[in-house]
Amino acid sequence: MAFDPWRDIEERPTADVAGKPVDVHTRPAEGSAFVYMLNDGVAHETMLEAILERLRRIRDASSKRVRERRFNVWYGTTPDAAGDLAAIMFPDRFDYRAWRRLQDLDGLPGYLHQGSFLVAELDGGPIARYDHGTITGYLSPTAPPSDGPADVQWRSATVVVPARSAERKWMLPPSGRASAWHTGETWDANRLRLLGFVWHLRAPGTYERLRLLTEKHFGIVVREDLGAADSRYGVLRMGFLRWSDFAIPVGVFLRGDLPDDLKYLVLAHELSHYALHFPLLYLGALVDDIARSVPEAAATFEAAVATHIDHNALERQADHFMSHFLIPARYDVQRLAGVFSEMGRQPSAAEWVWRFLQPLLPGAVDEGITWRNLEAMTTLAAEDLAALDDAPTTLYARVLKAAVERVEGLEHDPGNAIAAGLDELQATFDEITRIVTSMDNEEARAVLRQRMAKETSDISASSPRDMQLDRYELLPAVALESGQLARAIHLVPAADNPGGNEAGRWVDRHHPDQPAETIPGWRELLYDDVAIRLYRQEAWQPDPAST
Amino acid sequence: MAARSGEYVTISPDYFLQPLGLGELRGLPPRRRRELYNAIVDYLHQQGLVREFGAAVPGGTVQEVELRVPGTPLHVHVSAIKEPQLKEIISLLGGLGLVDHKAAFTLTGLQTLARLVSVLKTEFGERSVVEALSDVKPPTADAVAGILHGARCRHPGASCRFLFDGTCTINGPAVATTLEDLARRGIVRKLNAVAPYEYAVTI
Repeated sequence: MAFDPWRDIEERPTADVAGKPVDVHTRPAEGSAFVYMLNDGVAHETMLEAILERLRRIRDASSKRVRERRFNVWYGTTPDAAGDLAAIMFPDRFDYRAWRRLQDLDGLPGYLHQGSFLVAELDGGPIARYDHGTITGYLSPTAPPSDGPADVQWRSATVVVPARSAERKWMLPPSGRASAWHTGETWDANRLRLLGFVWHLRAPGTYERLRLLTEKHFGIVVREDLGAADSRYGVLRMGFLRWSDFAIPVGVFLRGDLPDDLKYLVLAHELSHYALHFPLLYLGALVDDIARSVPEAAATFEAAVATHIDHNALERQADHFMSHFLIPARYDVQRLAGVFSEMGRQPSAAEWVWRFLQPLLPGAVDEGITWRNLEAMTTLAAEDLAALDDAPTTLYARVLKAAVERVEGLEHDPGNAIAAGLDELQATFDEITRIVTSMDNEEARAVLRQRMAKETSDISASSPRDMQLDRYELLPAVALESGQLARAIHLVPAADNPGGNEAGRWVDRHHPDQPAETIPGWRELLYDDVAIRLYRQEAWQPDPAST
Repeated sequence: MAARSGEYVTISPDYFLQPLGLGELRGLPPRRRRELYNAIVDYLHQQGLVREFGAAVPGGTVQEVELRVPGTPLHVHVSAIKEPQLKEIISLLGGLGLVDHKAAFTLTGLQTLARLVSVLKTEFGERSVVEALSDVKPPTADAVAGILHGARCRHPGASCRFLFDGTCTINGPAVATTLEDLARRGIVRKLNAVAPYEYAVTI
């Protein structure tokens, strides 16, 4: 059975400094409280006597149903505008037969009211415990064992405050399953699947569950292959093109050292890129394949990307969508802000967003909001929200900004700029394929080179920069004429070289039936203007023969 | 140039305590966390353990999109993870309940804590006694003994004379004597003139 902090304790193996046994309690979240104005009649010692008397009633009840139970009792004080309050707290769930034995606690002096309250609001701790007829009274660790009534066992208590964690709910699986091979058509259906999944979220989920659903239902591989030195939290990556249907596998790679809360954010962000920006990446992969023989195709396409795509806008759009994984679309935060009032003040929708996000974001506030710390939390929220700017330098600020903007109804693609940019890229791709398929490679290269020369005076400036720091190792072409771009061959380790050792044999991934060669062997076979890409970490990709 | 895995770890204001092998600090709001991050980075710079690899470059090739560490990623040499003094400083910062103390979150503050770490005689339980002062009200010798005695040792690697079978065996008189000596050395100060005496750490 799950641990219940209102009913369960652990016994510490060592006694306290006065020689009494020690019970280790875990602070519960909330309970039922009798609340009083603090006075001598409800001070700690007096209250302990009152509680013990009522626990004896339960112990001595004729009904076994009343006697056979266990629960802890907490006592504490809290400041209030009108003077200090005292409260005695019990578990919320208490059947009426036992509750009747306690109810006259409302007759103690200074009684105000009963209700559900957060235990964190109190300065105090466990005061007593009842366990199937055994009554325990708690004294301070330095107090000697009491010479009071023999029917009470006297101990001291320590309290463990659990780390605050957000409520994360089990995520309903999306409908259907996508293939591990993605095309423009399958992406369209998969994107709708992902949108439906996000729409039905009731609360943030866990990383492990999201990872499972991503692999099983969205057909996207998830690997924790990025090292602790990587300056990326995660990356969404296209695999090798399968020529039979121009399908491509998709993978998300995360830093393995991150805590699960952060991995959840990162995976959600990369899934958002998939839902919104797959066409860009897919076209890029198609062009990369063409560029093995016609490198000017990649240069042309990347120049178009640089012209028509604002990467910062892509990131903002992905953050915007990612915020649904944290604050589900079904939460009407604006309505919440319009309805709730706290001590004469209505928190804004942005402040509600801040509160919802705190237990979900690494590095955020880790104590819950109570009446005692409400003012401090309100100040913290105001500071964080005021500090948001257009260039957040922490992930915390980025996520907060995206969630606030989404809830406040800000457009995630103002003027449809991203959509228009993607249309331009499609047009560029169509032009490239028209050129490449209508003439031989050398002619196509000349045409594209001329096209690029018209758009920029420095062809080499639009050459693809190799930013794939770990995707592949690039062995440059042996000799290139001035301004010439290198063609490329893509090699993967041969079966007898699983570690991708440079001294071992390698296979052309586009012609796996051809004999494997060593690197020097490939150099002998290739023209001088051909660069070599060594792909070592592509074992994540599915077998091309799979469906 | 990329930081090679195994030689460096990348840290950011969002995620730096665990990569550096430091314990998590409860109750640290985001703004204070950023201040602590800056102070730790200054400290590590001083030790020559930090490298910057240039500002984040947007995008990747057009076959992938990344979630980069926002801002400028900082790469810390792995020897920083084994740097014992930093671990002690951060542990003391949490142990003393200094998450609200503004001065603690500067390089000077960390250096002050470093000095405190160096003068505390951990083999006599002084570290735990000093930390326990922030956990009890009122901060008297009895209250400190009450919270320490019988509990799991807070610093089991310190070869403390009061450690037995993983638990603390310090008693009231030992705590009282220790606090008096710490007060004489200026590490803590007595807050009142009449017993039971209350103490606070001198920061």
